[in-house]
Parts: sequence; C-alpha cells; structure tokens
Amino acid sequence: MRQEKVAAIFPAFGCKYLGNEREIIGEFSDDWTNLSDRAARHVRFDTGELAACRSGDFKDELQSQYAVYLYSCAVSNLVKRSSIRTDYSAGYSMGLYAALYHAESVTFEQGLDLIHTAYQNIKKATVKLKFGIGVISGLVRSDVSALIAGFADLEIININNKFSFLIAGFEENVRKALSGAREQGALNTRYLAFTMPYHSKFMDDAASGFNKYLQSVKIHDPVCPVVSTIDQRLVTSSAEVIKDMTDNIHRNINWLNTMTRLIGAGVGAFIECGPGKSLYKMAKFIDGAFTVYPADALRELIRSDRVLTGVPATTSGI
Amino acid sequence: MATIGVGTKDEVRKIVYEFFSEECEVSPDELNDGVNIINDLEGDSLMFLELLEIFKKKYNLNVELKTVGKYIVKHPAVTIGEIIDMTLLIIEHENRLADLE
Repeated sequence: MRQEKVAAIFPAFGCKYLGNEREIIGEFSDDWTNLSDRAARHVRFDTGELAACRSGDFKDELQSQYAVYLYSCAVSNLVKRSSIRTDYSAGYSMGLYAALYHAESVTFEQGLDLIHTAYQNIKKATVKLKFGIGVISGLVRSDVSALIAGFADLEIININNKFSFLIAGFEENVRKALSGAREQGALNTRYLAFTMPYHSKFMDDAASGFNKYLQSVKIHDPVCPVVSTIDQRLVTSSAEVIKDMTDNIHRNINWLNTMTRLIGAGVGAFIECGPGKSLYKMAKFIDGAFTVYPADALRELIRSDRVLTGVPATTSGI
Repeated sequence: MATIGVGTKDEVRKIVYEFFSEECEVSPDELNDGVNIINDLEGDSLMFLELLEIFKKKYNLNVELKTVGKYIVKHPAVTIGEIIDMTLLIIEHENRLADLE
C-alpha cells in the first residue's frame, strides 16, 4: 500500500478525448448518465451533441465546458467511492469548477451555473474585438517572453510546463507571434479554436461582473485544500474560493508551478479526473518523482490491489 | 561530432519503435518506417519533444531544442523513418545541426 499524498487534478475544455471515457466510467457506475440527465435539466445542455462527440471537438465553447465538467465530476465521484483519498485538488484553467466540486465547495448544479455565468461575462467583455489564443511548444520561457515583448496586448496566460506556453491577445498578433515562434525554433505552434482570451487583462470587466454574481452564491469551505493555479496558495475557505474564481477569469495561471508546488508538498500520485490525458502529457516535462493517472488508468487504479491512500494534508505542509 | 556506427543506428531504431509503440498503444508489428506519427498514430509534437529529451540524456547531447526546431521547419520529419534519420543527425551533429542545409 502506498503512503504518499494524492492530488486530484482536473483538465480544461478543449482537451482531446480518448473516445472511450463513457465506457470506462460506465464500468463502475451510472454517474455519467445521471450527471448528464441532471445537467440537461439544469442548463441548456445538448446531450445529443455530447453523445455524438466522442473526440471532444465540440462546436460550441460553452457546451464543451459543460461536457468536460460533467466527465470530471463523474470521475471525481468514482474516485471518492473507491479507496482513494485525495489530499489536494487543483483545476487547470476552467477545470477549477470541477476541482471545487471535488473539494465539495460547490454542488454539481452550482458548478454548471458558475460555468454559464463566467462564460456569459467573458463573452460580453470580448464582443467587440477579435481575440485569440495560441500554444507554443519547444521554446523556453525567456524565448517566449522575448517573442511577445513587442506586442503590448500579448500575454503568456499559462505555463503548461518547461516547454509549452499559452499566449493570448488580439487574433492578428497571436498569429504573428506563433509565426515568429516557428522562426525562432519552436517545435510546434497551434492557433486554438477559442475566441476569448481567458486569464488575460482583457477579462478585467468579466472578472468584475463574475465577482458580483459570486457574492450571491452559497459556497462552502473546501473539504480538501484546492491549490490556486495563479499564485499556488492553498485555498481553504469560501472567501478564498470566491477570490480564486474571480482571479481565474483575468489573471495569468501557471500550471507548471502548481504541479511543482504539489510535488514539493509530497504528492506522488496525481489522478487526472476528466476526459483525455492532456495533464498526463503536460506532466512529462515537469520535474519530480510522481505518477499521473489519466482516465484510461482508472481501471488499473480502482481494480488493482495497489490502493492509493493519501495521508492527512496540513495547510502548512505546502 | 559523434560517429554513428551500426550499433547506434540499431539502438536508435529500437528506442524509437518502442517509444511510439508504448506512447500510441499500438503493437510494434503495426509500425514501420512509413507510418505517419500525426495522421496514423494520432501523435503530437510533445512526443517528439519527449523522444528528444530521452536521446539528449542517453547520449549526453549538447543540443538546444530551438536548434532542432529550426532544422525541422526546413526538413519536416513526420514518419517514423524520418524521425529515426533526424535523431541520428542530431546525435551526429548536436548544435552544429544549425550549420546543415
């Protein structure tokens, strides 16, 4: 039996699905079906598109967010029902809402409302301008910083790992920067199909609007610490949850530092609760002795004798 | 500049095949030099990055990622065979890869 700390980590929308997530979850429970029904009753959630889209390549950004959240919550339920105790929770980008569900800070339906309201505020804030997000792989941070220095609107909105960065700003300049990155020797660049510059300064108004909404939501203290992807502090109270959700809209995040912080706190096992294996892949370029278990490792994790058992987390231990 | 012998060639080939077999969850029997990493195996650039890190450690290579990146822009490597050839060039030339046409 392993005696190491365990963290549940949650991917964001836009990740590529394995295609068989439903079957994996279905082997253990009806959570996927049940949550899908609940989502359809609560928000305008297209279960038909969910059923048809196994690759995760949704046409609609909001539907894509709902879908990842649904899968993530279903895996979270599975993990909780097994013998796996998680010491920490952390969500990549909009994976934050599922991380908060896992930490029992919000209910499933509240999470849907949060996603919807955040999306509406973000959409409103970006309606007049054309924004874009791009990913650069194969350069180091100093190269990317130098590359975007000439563009006042561009920001590194997330550092995935040592060699992968998300940049956001005006569409035209994102495209220019991606082109420049290839000339500088980036192994790959990709313009993402997102139209809104999440985690950037352009989201200040959206964050303000979202924060007003959050004041009316009953949010509970997390049952396990949630690690902020913005400054890597431990979020342990409802007030801090509200602050982190607000900051998550308009401040840059750093997944590399978040993972590093957790590894430093003694986490040796990360369970990627959600579709695909995007966080598993990102972690290959993060230093440390740890294992990430993506969705297709759930069978092994739950059915094997190798039961993960977390140790009590302390707020001062990280 | 390292000399590439038959032993190194065989070793690189073995590592590349094993790597893609494991990463893409396909039997080694299904792989050949003509298999396209992106189209046939649904692979991605991070896999190449990972493979590069493996070889950098194994052969203690002095090569910057962006040197490799600049070379790839001019000489794309998309099949297993092309990746093996490129890996051998990287081992042979390291950062001097930038001097190659």
